[in-house]
Amino acid sequence: MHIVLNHKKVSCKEGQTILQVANEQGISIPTLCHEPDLEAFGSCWVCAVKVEGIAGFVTSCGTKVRDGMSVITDSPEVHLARKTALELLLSDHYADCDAPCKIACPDHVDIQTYVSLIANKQYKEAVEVIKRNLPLPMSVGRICPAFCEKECRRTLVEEPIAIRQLKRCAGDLELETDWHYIHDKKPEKGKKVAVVGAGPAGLTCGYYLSTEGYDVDIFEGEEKAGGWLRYGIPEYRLPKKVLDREIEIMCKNGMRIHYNKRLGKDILLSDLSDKYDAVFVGIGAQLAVPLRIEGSDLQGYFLGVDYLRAVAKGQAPDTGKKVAVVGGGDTAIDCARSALRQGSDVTILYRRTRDEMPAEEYEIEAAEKEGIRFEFLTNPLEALGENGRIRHILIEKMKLGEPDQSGRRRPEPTGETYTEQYDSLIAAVSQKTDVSWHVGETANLKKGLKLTDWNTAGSDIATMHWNGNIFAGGDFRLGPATAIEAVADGKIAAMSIDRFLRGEIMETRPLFNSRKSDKIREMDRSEFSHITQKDRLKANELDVTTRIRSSDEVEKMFPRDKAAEEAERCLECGCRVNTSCLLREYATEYRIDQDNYAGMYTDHPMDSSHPYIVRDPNKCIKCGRCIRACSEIQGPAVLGYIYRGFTTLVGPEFGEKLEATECTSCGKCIEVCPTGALLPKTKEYKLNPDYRETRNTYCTECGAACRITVTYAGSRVLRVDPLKENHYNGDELCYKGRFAWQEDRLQYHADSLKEIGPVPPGTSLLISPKMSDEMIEEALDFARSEGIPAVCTEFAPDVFDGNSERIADMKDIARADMIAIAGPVNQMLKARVRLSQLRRGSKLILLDPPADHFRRFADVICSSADDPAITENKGKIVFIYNRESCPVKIKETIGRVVATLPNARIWVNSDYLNVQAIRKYAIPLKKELHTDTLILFGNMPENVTANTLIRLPLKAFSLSGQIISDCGEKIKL
Amino acid sequence: MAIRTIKVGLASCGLAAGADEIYNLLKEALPSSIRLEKTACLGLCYAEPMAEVIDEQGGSRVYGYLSSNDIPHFISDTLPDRKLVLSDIREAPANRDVAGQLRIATRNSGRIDPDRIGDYLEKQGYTALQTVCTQFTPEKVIDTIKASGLRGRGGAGFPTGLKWEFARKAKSDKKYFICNADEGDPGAFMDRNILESDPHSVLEGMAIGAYAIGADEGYVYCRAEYPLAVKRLKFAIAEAEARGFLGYNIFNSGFSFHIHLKEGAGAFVCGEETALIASIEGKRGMPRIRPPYPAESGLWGKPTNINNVETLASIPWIILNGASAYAAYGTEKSKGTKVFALAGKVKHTGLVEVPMGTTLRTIIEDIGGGIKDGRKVKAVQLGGPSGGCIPAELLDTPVDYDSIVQTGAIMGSGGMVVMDDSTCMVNIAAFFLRFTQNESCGKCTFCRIGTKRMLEILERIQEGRGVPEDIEKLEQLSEQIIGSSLCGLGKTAPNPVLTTLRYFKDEYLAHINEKRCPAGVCKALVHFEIDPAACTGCTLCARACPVKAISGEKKKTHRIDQDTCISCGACYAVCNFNAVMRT
Repeated sequence: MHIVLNHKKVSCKEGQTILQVANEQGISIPTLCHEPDLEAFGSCWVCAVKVEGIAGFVTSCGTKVRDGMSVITDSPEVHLARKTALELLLSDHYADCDAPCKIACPDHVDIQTYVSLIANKQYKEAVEVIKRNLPLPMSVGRICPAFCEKECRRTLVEEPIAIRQLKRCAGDLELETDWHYIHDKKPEKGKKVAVVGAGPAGLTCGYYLSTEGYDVDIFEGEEKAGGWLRYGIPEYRLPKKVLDREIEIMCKNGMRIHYNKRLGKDILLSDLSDKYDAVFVGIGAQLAVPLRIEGSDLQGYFLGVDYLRAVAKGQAPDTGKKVAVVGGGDTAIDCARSALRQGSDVTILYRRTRDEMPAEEYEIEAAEKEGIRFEFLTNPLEALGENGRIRHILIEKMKLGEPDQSGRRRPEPTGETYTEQYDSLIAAVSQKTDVSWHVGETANLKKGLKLTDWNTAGSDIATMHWNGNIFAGGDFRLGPATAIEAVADGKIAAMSIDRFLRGEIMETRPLFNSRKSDKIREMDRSEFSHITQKDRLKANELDVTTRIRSSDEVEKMFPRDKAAEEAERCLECGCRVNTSCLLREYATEYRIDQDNYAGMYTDHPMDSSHPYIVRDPNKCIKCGRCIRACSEIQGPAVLGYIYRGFTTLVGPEFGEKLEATECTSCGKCIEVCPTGALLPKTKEYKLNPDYRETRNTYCTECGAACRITVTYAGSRVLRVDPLKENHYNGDELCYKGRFAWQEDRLQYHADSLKEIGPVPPGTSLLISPKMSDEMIEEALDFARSEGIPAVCTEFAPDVFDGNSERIADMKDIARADMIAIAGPVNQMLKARVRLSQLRRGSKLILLDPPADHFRRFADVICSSADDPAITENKGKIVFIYNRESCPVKIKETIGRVVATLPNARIWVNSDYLNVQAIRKYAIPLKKELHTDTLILFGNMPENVTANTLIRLPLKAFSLSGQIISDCGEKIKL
Repeated sequence: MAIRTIKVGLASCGLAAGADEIYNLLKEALPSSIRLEKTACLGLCYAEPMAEVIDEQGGSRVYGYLSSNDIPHFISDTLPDRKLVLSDIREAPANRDVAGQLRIATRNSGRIDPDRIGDYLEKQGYTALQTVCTQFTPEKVIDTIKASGLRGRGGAGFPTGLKWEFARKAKSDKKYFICNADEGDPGAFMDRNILESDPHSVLEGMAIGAYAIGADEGYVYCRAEYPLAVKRLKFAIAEAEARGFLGYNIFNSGFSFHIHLKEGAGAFVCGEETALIASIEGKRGMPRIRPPYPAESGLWGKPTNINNVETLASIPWIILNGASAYAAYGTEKSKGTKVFALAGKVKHTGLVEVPMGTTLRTIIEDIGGGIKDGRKVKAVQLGGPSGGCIPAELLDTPVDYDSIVQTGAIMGSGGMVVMDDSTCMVNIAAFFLRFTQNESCGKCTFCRIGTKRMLEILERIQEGRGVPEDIEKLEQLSEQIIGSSLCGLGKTAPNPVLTTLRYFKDEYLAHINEKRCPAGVCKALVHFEIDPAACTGCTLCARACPVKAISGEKKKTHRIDQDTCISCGACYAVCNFNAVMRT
C-alpha cells in the first residue's frame, strides 16, 4: 500500500505507524514517549504530524497508516505544534542542563566535571577537562575573579566552592612534577595562522589552532610572552616561573612565538593577512588612560600600566617615600601593593566609597591588611611640585550623587579642597588599546577593519571574525577585562578560524540550556535546607610582615587531599546526561524559549534512597516510558502515575521512596528515560556530566555473557551499560551486570600470577570458573611450575553437557513459538523472552517459577515439562534454565521431553562464566579442600565469600600476596 | 375528596431538601386508609421537598416547598394552593413550568418507586426486552435504533445504532456492553436522577443493546459519589436477576446477560470511554490512543460497546413505540428528546426533558421561569467544562447537536448553567478551566501543562496583571490543546475560554486594558467606597464587613479603609440606600 508523505507517494506496509514509515524514508520525527516494543502511548506529542482530513494533529507513533493517507511532517504548523509541546514540557522542567558555574564562566569551563574529578582524587583527569577550554589553569587559577563562584549554588548553603583554588590545585601538578597535559596534536593541515600578541587571548588561540594541526606564529611586541599576565599582574599574585612553565607547555604542540615584533612597526597586519591563511589580533589594552590634571608633567607622576610593567621588568622607578595611587580597580590595588613592596607608604585615592570599588573584595582586603591607606570620596585636582618633582597633591572632597548608568552612585564635587604631602602619584584609572598602528593599516587592506567608538575591535561577538581573514578578540575587543574573558575569546577565535579555513559556517547553534533560575539571587534557599553545612576550605597566606618585604606569592595552595574534600561539597547542579538528553537535543533543534510559557513548576525532592538509582522528579516529563518498561517488560511494576492535572507525578505508589518498593534494580527505567529523571548511582564516586572513555567487553557475572559497555575514568569504573549492538542481550542487562560490580566481593584479580613469589608447601590454587580460557591456561601453567594442585569450586553437572546440537542461540528465542523458562533465571533472559512474546507473540510457559512479578506474563504456569501444554506442542520450543538453580528433577524431565520433541532447543545458563573451559581443562571440582595456603585466582562466585574463608581455619591469600586468614586446615568451597 | 395515596419524592434533590423527614413524619401521622409510597425525581428541584397526593378518583396534585408544618394538612387534605406545583388538571396555572416538556428518558421518573420492580412492570417494563428477545433478530434491533435517529446522549452525539452495528460486526468469542454512568460535569445531574428514579429502564436498555451486539456480560460504571444511585442500581440488578430479566436464558430465548456494577473513584476523565475501560480493568483511568476503538478492542481487549445512561433509558421506549414515533420528535439531524439539568440563576432549577429543537429561550424563560431577582440573562453554559458559553443574543438557538456546535458550545450531556449579568465571564472561563485542569489525567503534554498555563493567564487577567498579548496567547494555546490531546477532555477543555473570548471579548479587554471587572466579581479589580451623600449611618455595612474595614459612628457617614478592605462586596450587598459604590 501507499501513503502520501510530504506530497510524495511512498510505499509502506499494513500495520506500520507513520513514525516507522517516515523513519524508513529518512525523515526524522522527534519522539520522547515512544517505546518501540510496547503499544504506542502518545503522551508527549512532540511527534505530532498532520493527516489530511483529520482535525488537529495526530501522534505519528500511535497512528497506523491507511492506504492513500496524506501525511505532512514538516509544515510550519507542525513545527509550531512540536515547539509548543517542547516549550510546555520545559516550562515545568525545574532543572539545569549545564551547571550555573559553567554558564557564569565566560569561557564555559566544565567546572562541575573537573571539581568532581578532584573529589575523586583524579587530578590529572581534572587538568585534562580544564584544558579543553582553558590552557592556562595555573595562571588563571591564581588570578581569576571567579565569576563561577558568584553563581555557585553552594552559597545558598553556606559559601561557594573554592573553584578557583581547586583549579589551581589540579593545575599545579604541572608545576610540581614533570607531568603535563596537552591535547594530542592532529595531523598537519598545511595552513598557516598568525597571531598578534602573546597574551592570554593570543596564546589560547594559538594553542588550540596548533593542536588542530595549523602552523601557528605568534608575534609579540615585548621580549617575553604572557601579555598582561606578565606585565600587569604582579609577581606576588602570579609568580613568573608559573607563567613561564605554562607557556612552555602550550608551545609543545608547535606554535612559535616571535618576540619584539610590534604591530605597525616591525610587522604589518596587511602583510600578515597576505602571508597567512588567517590572522588573530589579540593585542590587549595596555595603554593607560591618563589622569588629566595639572602637574602631570612633573617627576613622580606615573601611569599605572607603565609602573607595573617597569616593576615586572625589574626596573621599578623611584617613587619616593609617600605614594598616592589614584583609582579603585584591580590595577590600582596592584600598583599600591607593588609600591608597598618597594618600601613606600601608600595611599589609595578613590572618588567614591569602598562599596563602589570595582576591585575584587579579597584584593581590597589584602591591601588593607598590608597597611595600605584608603581615602575615599577624594579627587586629585593638581599635582604641586618643587624643582620639577611632585611634593603635594591638591585634593577635592567628593560626595555621592544619583546612580549613573553602571548603577553606581556618581561622585560629585563638593568644592572643598585640601593639600597633602606626596612624593609621587600613580594614575591607575583605566586602560585602552594602542591603536596607532591602525591608521596606516586600513588602506592596505581591501576592506576596512572597523574600530568601535572606544577604539576596540569591532569583531563579531560569536565568532571573533573581524574582516576578511582577520579575527580579533581579548581586551582589544572587550576593553580592559579579565584573563578568563580573553581566554574565552581566544578559544572562540580558534574554533572559528578552524571552521573558516575548512570552509564551514563559522557560527554554531548554541545548545539549549534549561535553567532553574538565571541568577542565584532568584533561587529559593529552602531547596538546600537539607544539606549539612560544611565550611569552605581556606587557603593559607604568607604572613603580612613577610610578604610586604618580598615579591613572594601571597596565596599558598591547600594540600591536594584537602582539595578533594572541598570538591566533595559540590552540589552537582548540572545534569549528568546533558550530552545525551533527547529533550535537550530537540529543544536545541526547535530553538525553544524556556520562558515562553513560564509559570508554576512542580518542585519535588530528589529520591536518592535506592542504592543504585537516583530519581529526580523535577526532570521528569511524564512520558511514562519507565512505568511501561517496568510493568510491561520487566515485571515488577514499581512505578506509576500519581495525582492528577498539573501535579501529576511519576513515582512509586503513594509517593513511596524507590527503595521501599520491590524494585529489582534491573536499571531498565534508566535505560528508557529520555531525560535525566532516572540516573544510575555509583558508590563512592562523584559522577559528573562528562562521560569519559568506554570499552566494550563481556559481562563476567554469569554464563550468559552479555555484551556490555564499561565507562571509566582513569582506573575507575563509572558505570556499565548494555552494548546496544547486534548482540543477543540487546538493551537488556540484569542487576548483576549493571550494578553488582559495585558490591564488596572477593575480587582479587591481578594481571599476572607472576607477581607471587615461590609458594610455600601445602599451597592450593583455587581457579575461578568466571575466567577466560587464556587466564585459566595461565593459572594451570603456574600450578604445574610450582607443583601445586589447581582446583575449581564444584558446580552442578547438567543433562545436556556435551550435547551441543540441541543448544539454542538467541535467534531461536526470537523465532520460537513457545518458550519455557524453568526455575529462576536472570532478568536479562526473562526480558528477552518477554520481548519475543511482545514482538512475535511467542507463548510463554513458566515451569515451577519463583514467586515474582514475571509470573504475570505467563501464558501457562505448570510444574513439570510433562505438561500437555508442552508435550502437545508442534512448533518451535525453547527451554531456558539455570544449571545451578533449576531443580534437578525438572532438568531431568526437560531432558526427556526434549528428546521426544524434534523442534525443541535448550538454553542452559550458568552462574559461572566458563563452565565449559573448566571441563575442557579437566580441572578437579572440589566441595571441600585440605590445604595450608590457598591462592584465589579470579572473581569468585557469590558462594565463596570472605566470610567462609575467614571463618574456616586455613591460611589463604589473594594474588596481591595479602594473607586473609592463617589458622587452619579445611575449607568449604 | 379523600386521599388514597401519597408519594414522597426521595431522590437526592428531595433528600437534600429534607424529604426523608417529611416521609417519616407522614409515616407516623397518616391513617392506615392512606397509602404512603416512595418515588424519586419529579424534575422540579427548586420546589423540593415534594409529595404527590392522589385521590380516590385517581386525581393527582403535587405539592412542593413542604415542611413539617404541612403534615396535619395532608391528613385533612387542606394543603394551600400556593404549594401546588403540578396538577392533573391540564389548565392549572401550576403546570406552566412543565409545559413544553416531553418525557421519554424520564418517563417513569417521579411516577414509580424505583425500588419496586412491580411499579416498573406496570409501566410496560421489560416488555421491550421480551419483544426483542423473542421476536427481533439483533440486526432488526440495530435497524430500529438506527431508524429512530437516536444519538449518544453522553455528549458526542454519535449515532447509537451505528455504534451497535460496529460492535455487532466485530468478531470475537466475547463482547461487553457498558453503561457509562460516570456523570461528572459540574451542574449536571441527569444521569443521577434517571438512575435514582428509574434504574430498570437503564438495565433494560443495556440488555437490549447486549442482545443486539452479542454481548453476554455488562458493566454499569457509576460514580461512587452517587451512593443512592449505586444502592438502587444494585437492588434493581438483583431484582431483575431474580425475575429472570437478567442472567441466563432470558425469556427462554437462549440469550444470557449478566450485569456488574463498578463504582468509579471520582475521576472526571473516567467518563472518557478508553479511560473508563482502563478503570474497570483496575488500571489508572487514563485514555489511550484511538483507533482501535472499543467496538474493536475494548474491555480486556474484547469488542465493547459503551452508552450513556440517558441513551439507554430511551431504548425500551423506542422498541415499544417504534422508531418512527421517536423520530417524529426533534429536528432533521437530532431526533427525540434531550434531558437537561437546569441550574444557575434561573428561577426553576431542575431536570427538564424537551424535544430536540426547542429553543434555549423556551427552556430558560418558559420552563425555567426566567432569571431570579429580576436580573437579565447574560449567557448559558452548555456542555459543562467541555462546552461553551452561549450569549443571551443567541437564546433563540434551537437545541440540536448541529445548531449548538455552531455557537462554539457543545450539546454535552445536558448540563445547562444559566448566568445573569452579575457573572464575570473571565471568572466563569477560569472556573471551568480550573475544573478540567484539576481533572486532566496528566498524560498529554498540552492538557497537563497547556491548560495550566491558560489558567495562569486567566488568573493574571483577573488579578489585573493581564497584558494585551494574553488574548492571542490564550487563543494560540487553545488551538494547540484542542489539536494535540488524545481524549475529549483535552480536546474540549479550552471551549469555555474560546466561547467567552468570542462573545465577551470586551470583558477581557476591560480587565486587561482598563483593569476593570465590569461584573464587579474579580476582587483585585473592584473597589468599594461609601457615598457620603447617600450614607445614613445605619451601621449595617460595618456589621457585615468580615474584616472590620468600615468605621463610622451611628447616623454619621461611614468610610471604608482601603488598606484593610478585601473587596468581598458584603457592604455593597447589604446597603439599603445604594450608598456603597462599586467601581
